[in-house]
Amino acid sequence: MKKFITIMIATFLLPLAASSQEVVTFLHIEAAKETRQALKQMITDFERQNPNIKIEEKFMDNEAFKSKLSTMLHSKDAPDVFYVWGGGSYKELVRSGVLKDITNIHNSFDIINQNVSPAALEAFIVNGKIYGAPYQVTEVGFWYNMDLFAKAGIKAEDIQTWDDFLQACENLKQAGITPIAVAGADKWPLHFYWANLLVKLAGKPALMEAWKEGGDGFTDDVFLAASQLYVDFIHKDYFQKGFLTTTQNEGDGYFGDGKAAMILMGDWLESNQRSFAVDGIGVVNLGYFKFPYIKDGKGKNDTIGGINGWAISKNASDTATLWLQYLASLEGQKTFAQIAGLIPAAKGMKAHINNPYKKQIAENIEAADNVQIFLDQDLGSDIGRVVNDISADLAGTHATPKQAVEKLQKAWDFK
Amino acid sequence: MKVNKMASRRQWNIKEKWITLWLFLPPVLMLFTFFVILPMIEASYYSFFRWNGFGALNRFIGFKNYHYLLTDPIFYRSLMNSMLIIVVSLLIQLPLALLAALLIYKNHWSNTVFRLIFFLPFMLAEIATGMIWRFIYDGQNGAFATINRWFNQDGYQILGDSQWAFSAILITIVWKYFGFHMMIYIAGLQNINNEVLEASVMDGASPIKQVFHIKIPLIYSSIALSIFFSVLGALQAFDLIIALTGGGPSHRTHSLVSYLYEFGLVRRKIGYGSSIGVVLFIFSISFALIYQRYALRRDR
Repeated sequence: MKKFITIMIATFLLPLAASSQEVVTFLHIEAAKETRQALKQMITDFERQNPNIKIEEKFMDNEAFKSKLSTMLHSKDAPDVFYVWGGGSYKELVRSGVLKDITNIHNSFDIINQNVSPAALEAFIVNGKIYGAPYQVTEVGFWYNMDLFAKAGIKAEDIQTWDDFLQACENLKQAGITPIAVAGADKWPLHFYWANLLVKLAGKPALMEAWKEGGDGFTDDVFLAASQLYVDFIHKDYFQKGFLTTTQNEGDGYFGDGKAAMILMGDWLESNQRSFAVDGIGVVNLGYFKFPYIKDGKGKNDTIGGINGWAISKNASDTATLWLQYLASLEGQKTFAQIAGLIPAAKGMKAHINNPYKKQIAENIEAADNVQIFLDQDLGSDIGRVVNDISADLAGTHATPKQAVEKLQKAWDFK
Repeated sequence: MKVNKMASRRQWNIKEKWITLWLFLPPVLMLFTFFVILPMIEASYYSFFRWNGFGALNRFIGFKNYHYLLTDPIFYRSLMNSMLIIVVSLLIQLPLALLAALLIYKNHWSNTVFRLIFFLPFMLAEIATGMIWRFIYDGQNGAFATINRWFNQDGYQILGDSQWAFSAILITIVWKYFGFHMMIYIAGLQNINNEVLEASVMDGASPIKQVFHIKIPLIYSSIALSIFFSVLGALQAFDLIIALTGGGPSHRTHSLVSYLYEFGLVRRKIGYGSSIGVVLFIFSISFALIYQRYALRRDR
């Protein structure tokens, strides 16, 4: 009987003891096996160091996440720490008042500022305050097929300026090789060209000035100039035939099958071109070079990429910031780089990246003056989609550069 | 005595009616109010705001959403497309369905086989249909590539051609739904009393005359129903378009609903999306009312 009572008491008290732990809910959309493994490892390490905090991991599919986030943040089930895309969509959340200002909570700003590279953190600062932290960066550049380049007698090292690049495309075309594959149906792969030309021409600071709250939007002549440059390039006919109906997977596969010499993409291309190639092997002699600069452009050393991170929702406890700090810490980011094989946002992580392409990309990002986030993310879901639209319109000659810029300005005025 | 009994029974009947009413009406009424009426009122309220779905509704902008909508060329294009689906449904799809029904409505094993074949596309899920037809229309590797080769148009992608992409969608719509309308007609045709047909043969009516003067008038209610379905279906057209073209190229192939999805939901302009919804609602309700009043009434 005594024994029974002890067991009874124990069963009632155990959950009590467990519930004195503070629970932090953590929502992510990372489907890749390695990345999930990295997050799991980080959770284990963090919980070992903070025995009274429990991280409750939740996963949601990318599309489900996008459509459910707004209702979720208004409900009681709002996650404490959750995935965000840096730039426009993050700022939209801040402006809507669903995030928590953690600048001064547990010294978050200073601690995160110490660890994370400034270009990445910049995407998470709104009016001098932070509501989250970055953890992963990417860059968009040209991936090329070394064998096809050799066949046309081109060296990637020689491609520095936009004119060099056009010459290389011309040489490929002469050699009977489709110079570039692009997934025009998805529009955003086309926006990479328009956005890169714009950033190399105008420079990020000028764009930020035009796109700040109450800014001029798209009135400057540089938008027309970039659109013209883009249209001139399209008219040279360097993409595969019917590129406006090609979807991302088809485009990656097209390149992976060796049917085109180049593709402008982020670091995910390396595995994608393998998975979507007919033989499942893809291009073996794969090379990467950054987007060429424009001779008298103002953003010669600016680049375009993505910065993803974590945000803290409004009703999260102060403890949640400790987990955020860990996600952005040198220790956490090291684990992330080693297991997930992605490029972390923290400083000096090059040594921990094993993949040579990603190492090169990490170096590029560190060396860049500014990192402009993908325009379709940075300008918010509304104007960003219009940028994608006009990139496709211009490519399909459904609009002139002037009409395209007017369309952007109309969307800007209606914001 | 007898009269009294009758009266009390009648009273009881009325009472019973009230009990039934009180018992069974509230659940339905509540469901209808919460899931149909309230969302409609809410949507028309949202349509006067600029709102991205996050945070508070605090940017009242009057009729600006409607103004933008009515000056947006893409909206008119989508409206035209929806109308085009209606026209093609009525002028091509339904006659085709009627013809097929007249040919195979009699019970015979070969007719059963054809009925199954024609009805199969309707059983496919819309998204799956879209995916299949994407392969067919693919100018590089699909069935369309062969046609391209006949005309020496290697690599031509019809779904990427802003002139012809919507025609491709229309073909798919006719292919998918005509079997459904055919089935409605077959059911109607099988209900026609055989004696009427036999009598007409005695009177010397030719098969063609039989079709136009007996069969079609007798299945009028089936036709009215199928017109109703095809117009409503056209106003709802969404999945097929998303799977086939996603509304592209350059938003030339949107229907009203896919326009709402793309410009209201995907771009997080819930206020604007609501105003599109209100306009779509006005279209649907006016069609339903007019049709109820003038077309469906005749068979009563």
